[in-house]
Amino acid sequence: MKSTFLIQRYVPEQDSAPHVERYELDLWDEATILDGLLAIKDSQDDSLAFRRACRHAICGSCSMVVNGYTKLVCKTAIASEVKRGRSELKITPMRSMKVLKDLIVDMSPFWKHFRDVEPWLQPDPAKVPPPNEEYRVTPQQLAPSRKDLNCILCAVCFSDCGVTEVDSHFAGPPALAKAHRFVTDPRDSKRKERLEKLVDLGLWDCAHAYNCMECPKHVDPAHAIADLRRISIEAGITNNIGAKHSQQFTKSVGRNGRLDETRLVMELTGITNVTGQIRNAPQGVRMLLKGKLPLPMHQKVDNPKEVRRIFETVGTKDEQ
Amino acid sequence: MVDAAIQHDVLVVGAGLAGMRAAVAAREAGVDTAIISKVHPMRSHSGAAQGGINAAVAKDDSWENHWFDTVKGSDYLADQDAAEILTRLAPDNIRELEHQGCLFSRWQDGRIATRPFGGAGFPRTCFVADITGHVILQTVYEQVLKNGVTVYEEFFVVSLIVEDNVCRGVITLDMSTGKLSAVRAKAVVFATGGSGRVFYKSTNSLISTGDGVAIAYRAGAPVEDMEFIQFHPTTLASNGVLITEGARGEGAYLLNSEGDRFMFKYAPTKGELASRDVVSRAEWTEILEGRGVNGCVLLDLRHLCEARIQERLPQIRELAIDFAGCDPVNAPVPIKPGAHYTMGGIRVDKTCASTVQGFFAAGECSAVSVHGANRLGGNSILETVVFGKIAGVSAAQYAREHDYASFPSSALPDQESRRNALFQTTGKEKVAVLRDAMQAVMNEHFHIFRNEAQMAAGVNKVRQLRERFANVAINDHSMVFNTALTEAFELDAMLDLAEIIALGALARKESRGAHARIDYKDRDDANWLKHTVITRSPEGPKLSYAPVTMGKFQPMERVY
Amino acid sequence: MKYAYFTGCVAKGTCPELHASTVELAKVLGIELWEMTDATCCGAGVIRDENPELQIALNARTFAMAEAAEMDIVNICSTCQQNLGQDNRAMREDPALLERTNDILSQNGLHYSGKTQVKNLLWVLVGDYGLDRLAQKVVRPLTGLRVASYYGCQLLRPVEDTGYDDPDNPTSFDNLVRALGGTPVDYAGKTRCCGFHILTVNEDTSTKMAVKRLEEAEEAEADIMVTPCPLCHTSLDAYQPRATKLQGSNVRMPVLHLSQLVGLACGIDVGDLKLNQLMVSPQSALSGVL
Ligand SMILES: Cc1cc2nc3c(=O)[nH]c(=O)nc-3n(C[C@H](O)[C@H](O)[C@H](O)COP(=O)(O)OP(=O)(O)OC[C@H]3O[C@@H](n4cnc5c(N)ncnc54)[C@H](O)[C@@H]3O)c2cc1C
Ligand code: SF4
Repeated sequence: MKSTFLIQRYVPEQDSAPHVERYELDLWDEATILDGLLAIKDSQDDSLAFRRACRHAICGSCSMVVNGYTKLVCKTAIASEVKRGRSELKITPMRSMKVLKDLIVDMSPFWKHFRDVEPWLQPDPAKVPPPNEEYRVTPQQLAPSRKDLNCILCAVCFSDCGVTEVDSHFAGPPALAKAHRFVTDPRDSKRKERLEKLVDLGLWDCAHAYNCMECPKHVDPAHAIADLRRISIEAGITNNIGAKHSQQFTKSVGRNGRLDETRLVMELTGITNVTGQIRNAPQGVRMLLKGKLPLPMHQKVDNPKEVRRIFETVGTKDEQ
Repeated sequence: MVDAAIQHDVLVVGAGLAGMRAAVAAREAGVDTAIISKVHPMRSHSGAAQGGINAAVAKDDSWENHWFDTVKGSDYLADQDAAEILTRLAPDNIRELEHQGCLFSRWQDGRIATRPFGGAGFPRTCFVADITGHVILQTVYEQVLKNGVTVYEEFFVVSLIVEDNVCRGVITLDMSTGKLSAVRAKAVVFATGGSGRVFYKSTNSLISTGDGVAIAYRAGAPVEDMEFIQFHPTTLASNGVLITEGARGEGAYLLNSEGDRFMFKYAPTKGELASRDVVSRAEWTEILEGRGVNGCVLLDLRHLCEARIQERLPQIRELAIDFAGCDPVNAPVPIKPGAHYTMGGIRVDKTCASTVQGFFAAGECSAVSVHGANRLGGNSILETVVFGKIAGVSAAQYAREHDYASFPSSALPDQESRRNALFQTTGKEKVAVLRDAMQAVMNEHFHIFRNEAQMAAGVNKVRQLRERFANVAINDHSMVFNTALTEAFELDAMLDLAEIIALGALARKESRGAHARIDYKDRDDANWLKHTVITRSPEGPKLSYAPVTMGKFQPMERVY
Repeated sequence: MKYAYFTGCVAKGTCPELHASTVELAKVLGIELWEMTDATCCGAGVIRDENPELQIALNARTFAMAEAAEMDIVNICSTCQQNLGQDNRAMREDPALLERTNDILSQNGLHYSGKTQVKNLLWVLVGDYGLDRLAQKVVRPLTGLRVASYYGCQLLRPVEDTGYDDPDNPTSFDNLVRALGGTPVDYAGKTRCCGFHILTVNEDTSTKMAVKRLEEAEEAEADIMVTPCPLCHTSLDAYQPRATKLQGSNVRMPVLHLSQLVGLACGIDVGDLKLNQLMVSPQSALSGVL
């Protein structure tokens, strides 16, 4: 099968800016993009630099952007791109990290976020079993973190995330998935402390773009983040804008069946927070002038009673 | 003497399971410890271990049974005292990992679950689904972070500095800058992993190039039993990717083209769960005798049904879909034996000390030797954990008792000229071409069945490749991430190992474990119950032999 | 063609013009809309974070109503599409969940069997209505107009729920632009997030994201952007002046909702499409078309 690789090249010692080089390949039908890169390195240009190791999606080395989306290239067949009608594969380094050479990026920000969640078990010393015994943990207790364990820290999701791209403070999907793994571990004793710290690390900054659902290892960090949010509210860690937004939102829907945005914003800013209200005011006035005026009486669904009944059955106390 | 920019009491080279376990142990023993690795720790090949880790944790199992299975599996070439340490300490080591956070799969009652594995008399393989190595690697890396061990990532070690048989440190290449520098240490531990890439379509990572073994050998440390290369029975034909023995542990069948479960012909009791060397030879025999399917046999998981496959072997399922285009839920997977594990390595004693003062080794690059002529599935990551820790403790103790030794002034310039030679050569040889040729020679001449004439021819071919290597040229002269250069260093190492493997194999005139000769079909305990030891000399590799430490278990015929 | 029309909250709140233009467009195309005035908020992923089963129960109620009326649901919002779609799939894939949810619905005398389909207006136009048919309705072709179609993120993921286009290489929106006579432009941010969902929680990051999308479209020399979603619309248009000010950007990019763009091509009066309510006036960008 024929394909063309358009690879972004950059050698810091000689290039002032990256440029694109074109390579023609004719490989077997099942060849992966990594096979393509290896073939180029072996027989066309030994100077092409990229990371790779296991070649079967367990070491997490070979993430790069292919036609706009980050892929683990050992797991991505060239044919899958060709099938999409793209026989030209534009390959660039991952986003949100500095390019060091060709397709190699500086992953230190990624690892820093990972370390920030204190990714190690912190048990209660009094509860550690003796050396000849293990903790008793049932398969059911293991289930919540099962997917988190799959994470190979390849940074595919980190590179595709719209928030990490502009916000270097945001922990990013894999670090949060790692945190989820410990928060849901029955042996860990620092659940609350972890959750409190996670609020600072950006637990509520995920924008629900779901790019990370394309995880090559099916980790589903979006779910981990959602679950952490739920757990943190349950744990009473609600004195932060994210949790408040979530709670007020749900309450608003419980009241009338629909979200009342204006009221939500006012409640979040705090009715008595005069500076905050004034800061929001210009935006409000602008919208008002454009006829984007929320109706004075917030629209209700026809049968708010039915909605309230649902809230009474499945909602938590606070949501009711 | 030169100034070393960096120095540490204990320097561990390699950040796989063995390396990180050693570093944490040394750190816990209170000495200043650092790790150097050519890849980020989580990229190490230990993460690829799928099936599990052996330990007699179950109530009705015993470590003595595990000990026996290990010795029998080794075809009696394991040192029994080392195998005793491995198996006796296994359960506590597993539980220590568990206490550190490793989420082993469980029984309903909350205890660590076990599954059957090849060559074992009891289901004693602990696991985390089919990502065991990956999850244990996470756990050990977590401990490295927790303990604040310094890690030099993407630093490539190019040589070990030994003078007067005392180890002084290493020379490393900082891959991100191209800078070669000296790192001094009171004690050095090598945990640089296996050499699978010497062979074609190995299950091993592209980085499993055996650098450590070759570097140690060049520095004067003897290497042991390198001719014993394990061919794993179930690897994908397309690219050599492994399908864990856990698949057979969970009950998968091996079928030939006639649909027969042929293994019972070769291993009447254990069938598919015989020892790996036995199963690989059986498969190869079926294929040679015309009962293969396109050069493969079939691994059939269908009867395990989807739910079980998804729960216990999800990664395997995906690998088969991705790389063999076949979903094991619906169709048998074509597989064949592939080079997988290096039983031999740097010769060390029970404390992981080599014959060079202050130089230790653990994990797949070492030969303590617990695997002898054939390693049992699930014993290797166990070895990395148990002996990694021992190596760390031994190195820490050595470091406390010794001071930094002086560094020969030629050490660094030697390596600089070695690099410059690769840059300046006007030669026409290409690294990739020689590497492919070497892998082809090794697969053809030192495969599952070996014989004198073929191996002798193989030795010559390897030597010719070594000569051609002198004319290798690299186009990339950049300093930053010059992976062409590191690949050349890796090939340089592999060519040494290829010769060592070839010579050891040619000399051993018997069949034992993974070394099966059609011209010497039987094990010959009278003449060959001994370790091959190869040492570097000005005249080339020097072969000698060392006794095997025997013990409770006397050699018996090995039937499964 | 008849659909249960799920307006969503924003088109009934801060962006009423998008509801108006959708209704006008449906009239012109002969699509009948039954407005689900009793449908709740889709939960927007916010309720899901806090209490997944609550969000599912609320959405199941909506599906049950559409199912009883024997109609599929059309929405004009990517977030509604994502949330309704994902919850719908969750129940289809997990009969036990569906049963639990039906227990909750039964107190309201409702039942959901899993038949309702959820489609964003884009999928209705491209899939059900058909682009050939749509092209025939064009009386004001968008000739020469360079349109950056903004799929955004939630419309496309997770792919199993929405399932109408390839999230890594979506083409339906661009095909639609072509059918209207316009010129689609390719740009880096077309499937990347606008930041809406963290606008109240982290305004700085959110507006950075929005500005980045606007700048990417501008860099590709688009005349306008179009979104199938009132939330993206809020981020990109309603908030544009504030966002560009906060982030010190000079970008100025008119952003139309899908219903407005199609309505425009189909000859609907500009007043009825409420283009004057856009924060960033499209006047000069559309001068060649109008
Ligand atoms: C696919 C596969 C599956 C397996 N499954 C199992 C199993 O289920 N159970 C089991 O017991 N065993 C299994 N094994 C074997 C087992 O995984 C390995 O033997 C073991 O993990 C080796 O660990 P290690 O720490 O010795 O080396 P590795 O994990 O290979 O680590 C080597 C380290 O050395 C570093 N290094 C190497 N050279 C240099 C250099 N020149 N400079 C600097 N650093 C260097 C590398 O960066 C790396 O960090 C499997 C092996 C494979 C290939
Ligand atoms: S969550 Fe998935 S995509 Fe993200 S780093 Fe982990 S394995 Fe990679």
